[in-house]
Amino acid sequence: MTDLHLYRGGRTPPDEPRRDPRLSALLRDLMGPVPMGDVDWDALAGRVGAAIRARQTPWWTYVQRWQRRALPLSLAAGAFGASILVHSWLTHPETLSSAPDMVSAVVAGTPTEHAATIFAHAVTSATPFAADFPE
Amino acid sequence: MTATSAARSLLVSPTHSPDPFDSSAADERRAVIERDAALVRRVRDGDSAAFDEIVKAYMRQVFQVAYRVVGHREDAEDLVQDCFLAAYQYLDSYDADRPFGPWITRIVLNRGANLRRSRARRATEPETDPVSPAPSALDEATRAEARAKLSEVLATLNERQRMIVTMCDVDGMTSAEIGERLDLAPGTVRWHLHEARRVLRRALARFIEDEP
Repeated sequence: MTDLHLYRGGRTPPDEPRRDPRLSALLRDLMGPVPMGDVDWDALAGRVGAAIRARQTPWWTYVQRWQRRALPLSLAAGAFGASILVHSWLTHPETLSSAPDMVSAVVAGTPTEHAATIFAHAVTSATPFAADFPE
Repeated sequence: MTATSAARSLLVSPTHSPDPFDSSAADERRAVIERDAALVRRVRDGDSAAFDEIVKAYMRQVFQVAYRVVGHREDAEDLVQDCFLAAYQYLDSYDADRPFGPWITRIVLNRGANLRRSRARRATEPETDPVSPAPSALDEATRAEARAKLSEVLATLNERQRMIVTMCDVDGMTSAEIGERLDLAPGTVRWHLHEARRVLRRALARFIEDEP
C-alpha cells in the first residue's frame, strides 16, 4: 500500500509512510530541534497573561455576562414602569392630561414661561403634599 | 494520572502515538475537549484566570508549531503571545464542541505565515541548538548551500505540507499525531507528506546522494 491512500472516516491503515532516513537526517541537520529547553515557560505564560489583561475587555464578555439576565430584567423593568404609569393615572389623572395641554398651549402661541407655570400648577395642585409648598 | 495531565501529555508529547481505535485515547481526547469547553465557558463568563490555564496547557504545542513556522526562538515566542491574544479576542467564534488545539494551531499557521513573509531574512536562518548541535555529515559550505536550497524549496510548499513534513521527518511525529494537531484525517496527512517528500527529494537529491 502506498502512502497515497486517502483516509476519510474508515479504519486507519496500520502502515505509516516509510521514512527516508537520509532525507530525514538531512532535514534534521538543516532545521535543528525545537529549542523547548531554552524557553522560560513561566515567563512566557506571565507575558501572555499580562498582555491579555492589558488589552481592553472584548465587547462580547459583557454580552455573555448579561444575556441570561437581560430578558427577565427588561420584563421586570417594563412591568414596573407600566404599573407606575397605571397607578399614576388612577390616582392623579390631571397630571397625565396636563402635559398634552401644555404642548398644545405652546403650539397655540402661549409664552413658554406661562405654559410652564400652568403645567406646574396643575401638577402640584393635584398632589396632597403640594399644599405644604409656597407657589 | 489526572485527566488534565493525561490530556497535556497527549497534546505536548511528540512521542505519544494515539491509536484512534484505542478507547483510552478516545477517552483522553474527550476529556481534553470537555476540559477546554469548561475553561472557555469560564472565560466567556468573565473569568480571565481560566484563560491562563488554557495558555499553560497549550503554550508548548503552540510554541513548537510557531518555531517551525518562523524558525527563530524569539520570533516564535512573540508569535505565541500574539496567537493567544487573538484567540482570546475571537473566543466567541470558537466552537466548544471541537478540540481547542487545532483551532489555535490554525491561528498560528495563518499569523505565522504573515510574520515569516514580513521577516523573510531571519526566517531563512533557523537557529542551531548551541548546546547539542546535531552531528552533521556535510561540511559547512555544503550545509549552507543545502540550507539555502531547503529554504527555497520549502517556500514552494504550502503551509500545511511544510508543517506536516517537518513534524514527521524532523520532530518524529506519526500521521495520527499530526492529524490530531492539525485536525486532519491521518490519510490526508499521509497524502500531504508524500507530496512534500517528493518535492524535497527531487530538490535535495544532490545533498542526499553526497552523504556517505
